[in-house]
Amino acid sequence: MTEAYGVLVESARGHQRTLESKPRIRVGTAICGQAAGALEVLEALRREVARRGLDATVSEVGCLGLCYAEPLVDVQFPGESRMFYERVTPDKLPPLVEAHLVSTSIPMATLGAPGFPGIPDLYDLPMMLNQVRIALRNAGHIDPTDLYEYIAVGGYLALDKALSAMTPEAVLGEVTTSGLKGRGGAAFSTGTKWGFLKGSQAPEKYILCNAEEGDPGAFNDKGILESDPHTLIEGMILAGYATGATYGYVFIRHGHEGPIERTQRALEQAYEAGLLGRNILGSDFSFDAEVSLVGESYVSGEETALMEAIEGKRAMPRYRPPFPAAVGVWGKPSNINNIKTLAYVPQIVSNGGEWFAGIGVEGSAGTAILCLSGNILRPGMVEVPMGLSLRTVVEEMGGGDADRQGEVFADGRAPGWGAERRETGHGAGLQGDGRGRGHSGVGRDYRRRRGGMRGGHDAAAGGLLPVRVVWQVFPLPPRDHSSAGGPGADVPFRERAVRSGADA
Amino acid sequence: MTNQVQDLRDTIRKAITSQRSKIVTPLSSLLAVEDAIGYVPREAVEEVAKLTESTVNDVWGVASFYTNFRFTPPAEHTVEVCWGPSCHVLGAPSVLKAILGHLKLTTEGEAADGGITFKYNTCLGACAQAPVMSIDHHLVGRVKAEEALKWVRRLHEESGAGAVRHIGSHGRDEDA
Repeated sequence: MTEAYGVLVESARGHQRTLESKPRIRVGTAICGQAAGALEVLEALRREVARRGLDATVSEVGCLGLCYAEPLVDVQFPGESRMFYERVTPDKLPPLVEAHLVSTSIPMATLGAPGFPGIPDLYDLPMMLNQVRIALRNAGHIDPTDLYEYIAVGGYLALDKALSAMTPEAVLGEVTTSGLKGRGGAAFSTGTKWGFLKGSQAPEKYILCNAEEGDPGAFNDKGILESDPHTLIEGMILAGYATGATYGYVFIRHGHEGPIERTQRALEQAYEAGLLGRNILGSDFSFDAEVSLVGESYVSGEETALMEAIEGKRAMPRYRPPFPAAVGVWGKPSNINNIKTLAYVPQIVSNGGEWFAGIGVEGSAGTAILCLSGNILRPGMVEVPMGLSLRTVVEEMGGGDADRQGEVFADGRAPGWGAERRETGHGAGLQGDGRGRGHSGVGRDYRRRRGGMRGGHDAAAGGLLPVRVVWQVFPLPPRDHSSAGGPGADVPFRERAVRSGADA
Repeated sequence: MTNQVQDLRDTIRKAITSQRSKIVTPLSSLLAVEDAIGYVPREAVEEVAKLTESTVNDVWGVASFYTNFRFTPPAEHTVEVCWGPSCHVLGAPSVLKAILGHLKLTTEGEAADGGITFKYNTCLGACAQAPVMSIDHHLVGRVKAEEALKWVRRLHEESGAGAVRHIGSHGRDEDA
C-alpha cells in the first residue's frame, strides 16, 4: 500500500466511524428519485430533523435500482439494520422521523443484522434476488459526493494496488484475462482495445469515457454517474495507467445536471486527495481528467462523433481508418470506453481477471446492467450475470407486465436482440453470441432454462453481445385478425425494434 | 437599445470567459451561453467566434447542429413532456394532448399568451417513473393529464422563474 493511500484510508475510517455513531437517513435523489418527488422529501426531511433538533445525518444517495419504490428513504440507527421505506411522501415523514418503527409505514426491506421479523432482507426482494452487483455495488448505499465513503468501502484500493504492486502490463493482463467486452454495444474485447493504445508510442494519449446516453429507456449510465462516480474515475485512471494515457474525458450530455454535478464534484475531490493530477498517490504516474459536455444530438454517442464534439465541432462521425487508437481526439491516439466498461475495471484489478471471467457465461463474461421500464410491475435498474434469461429478469425480477396483457419488448444498442416473450414462454438469454448453451457462471435456477440460453437470431451471425439492453414493456395492440386492418396490422410492436450501434 | 445590446454582450463575454472546462471550444462556449441566458443570440455567435478564433460560419454550424440550442429568447417557464417509448405506453399522449390543448398549441413552441415554452423531449432519463414531464428542469414522474394541467396552470399564476421548485408534490396521485 502506498503511504498516501494509507493516509486516505485512515481518514475514511474516522469519517465512517463518525457517520456510524449517529442515526443516518439516506434519500435516493438520482433522476428516478427526483421524478418521484425525492427532492421534496429531502427538503421536508431536513426541515423535520432540524425542527426536532435531532443529531442525525441526512445523506443523498444514488439509485439502488428499485425505481418502483422511489422515493426511497432508509433509516439506520447505530448498530441496527437499515430500514427501507418505499414511496415516501413529505407528509409521511414526521412519524418516520419520530420513531420509524412505530410509524404507520412498514419498511419494505431491511439490510444488515439484526433484521426485523417479517420484513425481508433487501437482497431477498424479488428484484434483488438474481443480482450480482459489480459496477452497481455501491449504488444507493454510499453518498456519491463523499469520497471518504467510497474509500471506506474499498474505493481506490485497486488503484493503490496497481500503482504500488503492478506494472501497466499486469493491469492490462488482468483486464484481458477477465474477458471484459465493451459495454457500449459493440462488445469488442477491452483488453485488446487497450493493447492497441498501449502499443502506440505517442507521448500524448487519451482515455475517453462515453456516458452520452441518448437512447430513450436507458438510464444506467446516468445511474452510475449519479450513484457512484468515483468507480468510473478509478476505472479511468486504471485504464490510463495500463495504456500509458495521461488524460481522460468523461463525456456527458448537457442538461443532465445531476450526473454532471456529481461527476464534476467527484473529480475535484479526486484531485484534492491526490488521486488525480501529478504523481498519483506518490507514484510517478500522472493522469488528468475532466468532464466534457455535448449538445443534444443522438449521433454524438458514436465514438468518432464524440471526439468531434470534444473538439467543439459538429458531432459528425469520422471516416475510419485511421482508428481512434491511432488518430483520436485532437489527432492523438485515444481509447474510448463506455462508462459501464470502465466501471468494472476497479473490481477486476482488485479481484483478478479470473474472478470476473468466472461470472456469466463462456464468451460473455461478467454482468449486464439492464433498465426496466414501461408497462412493467417493478421498473428499475438491475445488474445480473450474463446468461440469465431475460424471462427471469422481466417476469421474476421486474414482476412482468403490470396489467398481464402486454408484450415484452427488448430494445437495445446491441444488434441481435429480437428477444420477446413468446406464448410458449421462451425468452432469449442474456447472451448474444449464439454459441454455448452451457455456462460457467454463478447463479442458480436459470441453469435449467434451456430456452433461456438462446441468443437472438441475428446474434449468431454477428457474434455480438447484448451488453446494453433496455427493457420496455409495451401493451399488446389488439389482434383481431378478422378485421380489415390492412397489411401489417397484426405485426407486433416489437417489430419496430430500434437497432442502432451509435454508441461506443 | 444600445445599452441593452452592450449588456447582453457583457453577459455573454462573462459566460464564455468563465467556463469550468479547461478546454474552451465553440461548443463548450455555446453551451455556456445557453446556460447563462437560455438561448444563443447573434451576438453570442460573434463573441464565441472571436474567443475561439473561429469564423462566425463555423460557430453557426455548430450551433445549428445540436438540437438544444435555440436562437430566440425562451419564455419565462419551460415545460417539457417526454415522449420516449416508456412514457408513451404509460400515457404520455394524453398528457401531451392536454397541455397542447391548454396552451393552444399544435406542436412545440411558445404559448400565444406568453410565459411558457413547450417542448417535446425524447428522453428525460427517468423512464422508471414514466410518464415524465419537466417544469423548469424539475422532474415530475408518474404524471397524469389532470396533474400536468394543474402544474401548467400553476405556472400561469406564479410569477418569477424558480418558484415552481417549492410547490412540492401536492396533487400527486400516489397510486398511479
